[in-house]
Amino acid sequence: MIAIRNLRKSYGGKTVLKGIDLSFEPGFVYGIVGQNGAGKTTLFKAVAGLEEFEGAIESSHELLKNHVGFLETNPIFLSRMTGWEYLKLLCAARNIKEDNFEEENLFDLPLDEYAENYSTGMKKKLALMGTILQRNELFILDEPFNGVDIYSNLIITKIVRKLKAANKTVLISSHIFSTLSDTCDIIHLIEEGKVVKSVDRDGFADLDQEMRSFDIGEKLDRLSIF
Amino acid sequence: MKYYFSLQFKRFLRWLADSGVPAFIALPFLIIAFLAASKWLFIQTAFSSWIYAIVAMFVLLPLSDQLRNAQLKMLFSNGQLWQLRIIENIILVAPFVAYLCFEQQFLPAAGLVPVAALLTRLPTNVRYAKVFPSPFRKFPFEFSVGFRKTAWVLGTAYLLMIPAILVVNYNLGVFALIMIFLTGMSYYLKPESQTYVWIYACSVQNFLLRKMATALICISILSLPMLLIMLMAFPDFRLITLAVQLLGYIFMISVVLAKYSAYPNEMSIPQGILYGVSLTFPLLFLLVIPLFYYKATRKLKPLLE
Repeated sequence: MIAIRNLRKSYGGKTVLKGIDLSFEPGFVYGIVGQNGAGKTTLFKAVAGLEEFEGAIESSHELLKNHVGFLETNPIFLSRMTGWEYLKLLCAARNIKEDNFEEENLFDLPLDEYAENYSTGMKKKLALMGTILQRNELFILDEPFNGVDIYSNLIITKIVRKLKAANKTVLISSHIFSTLSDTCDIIHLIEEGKVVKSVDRDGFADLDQEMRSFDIGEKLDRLSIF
Repeated sequence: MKYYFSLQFKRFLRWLADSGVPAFIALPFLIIAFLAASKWLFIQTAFSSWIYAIVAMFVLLPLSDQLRNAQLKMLFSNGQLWQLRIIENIILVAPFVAYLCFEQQFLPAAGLVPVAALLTRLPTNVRYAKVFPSPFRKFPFEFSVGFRKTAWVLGTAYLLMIPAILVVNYNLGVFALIMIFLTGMSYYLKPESQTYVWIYACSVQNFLLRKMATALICISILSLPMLLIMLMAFPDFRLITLAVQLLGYIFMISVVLAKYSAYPNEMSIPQGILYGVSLTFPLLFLLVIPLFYYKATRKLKPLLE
C-alpha cells in the first residue's frame, strides 16, 4: 500500500499541491482528473520521486522509486537511440538482463529504428513497454491515451486491466473521461492542488456530468479573431 | 526581426546568470578568454589561420539544428528566415573575422563571411532514418548515441595514423589519440533528462561507478587499437604514449563526474573554467576529481535515493 500524507509542493512563491492525502492499494486502478495546471503531473512526479516535496509518502518498499514505472505525457528519447537500446537501458537500469524484446513487442514497434523518428503514439507505446519490462509494482501513466490511435487505445486499456489482475497499482490521468471510467476503480478529482472529490464506479456518471458542466462563460466574448 | 535578436541577447544573458556568473564579469572574461585562446592557437602552428577558420565554422553548426530551423520556419516567411539566418551567422563569425584581420590573415577572413552565409543553406530537414550501426549498442546510451554522431571524427582520427606512421610524425599520432579521447569526452557534455537518471535502481555511488566503468570500457574499445599501433610504430616513445592513454582515462573519469556535479544543469562557467584549467595542469585533477565526486553525489541523491 502507498499512503500520501499532507503532500505539499511549491515552485518559488506558487503552491501547486496544497496538502494531498491519498492511499493506493495493490490491484486497484486509480484515475486522477483535473484541469490543466491542477497539479496532476506534479503529484505524479512527487510519487515517482522525481520531485522533492513536503509531507510524506509511505510504502511497503524501502525505496518506492525503484518499483515505479512512470509513463510521461511526452516521453523524451535521445537523438539517435534505437527503440531496442531504449528498452535495454531501462532494463539495465533495474539490473534486468533482457535482450530479446520481440516477444513483449505487443505494438509491433520497429525496435531497430531510431525512437526519435517514431510517431507520438509509437513513442508512448515504447515508453509503456519499457515500464512493463522493468517489472514495476506501481505504474504511473500520465495521459497514456493522448496521441494514440483507437486500436492502441484499446490495447492500453487491456494492459491496464492486466496490470490490475497482476495485483499492480496503477495511477492514470486522462482528459478523456470514458477511458478512465473503462479502467479505473476510483477517480480523484484535483482542483487547484487539492483533492476535492473521490468517487468509485457508482459515482462516475455524476462526476462526468459535473465535469462537462464547466462553462467558459463570457470570457469567450473577449477573444478577437482577425 | 529586431525583437528576435533582442530576445536572443536576453536569453544569452539569462544563460550567463544561470551559469552563476554576473554578466558584467562574464562578458569581459569571455572576450579575454577568446583573445587568449586565439593568440595561443596562432603561436602553435603555421596553419593556425585555416584551423581557426574551421573552428569558426564549427561554432556555426548548432545554428543549423534541424528542430531549431523548423521552428524558425514556422515563425518567419522564407525571405525573412534567410535574412535572419545570414545575420546571425555573420554576427557569430564576426569576432573570428576581426581576429584574422588583426593577424593580417585577410584571405581566410574574407573567405569566412561568404562561407558563413552559405552555411545557412545547409539542409536542415535531415532525418536520420537509416540506423548507423554502433559497437556500443549494448552499452546505452552515451557511447552508442555519441558514436553515431561522431563516427566521422573517429574515422578521421584513425586515418591520421596513416600519415603519422608514413612520415614518422609521432606528434600527429599522439594528436589522433587525443582526438579519440576528446571525442569520447564530448559525449558527456550535455546532461540527459532527469528520468534517464531516475530509472536506475542503485545508490548514487553505484550509479557513478557504473557510469565511469562504462565510459572506461567504451573508450578502451575505441582507443586501444590506436594505442597498439602507436606502441608498435613508435617504440622509443612507449612511456609517453602510455602516459597519454592513462591521462585520457583520468580525463574520461573527470568528465563523467563533472557532468553530474552540475546535474541537471549544464556545467556552469566557474565549473567549466576549473575543468579547463585542470586539463592544462592535470595534477589539479587530484583535487578536482574528489570535489566533482562530492558535488555529483549531492546532486544525484534526491533522484536516486
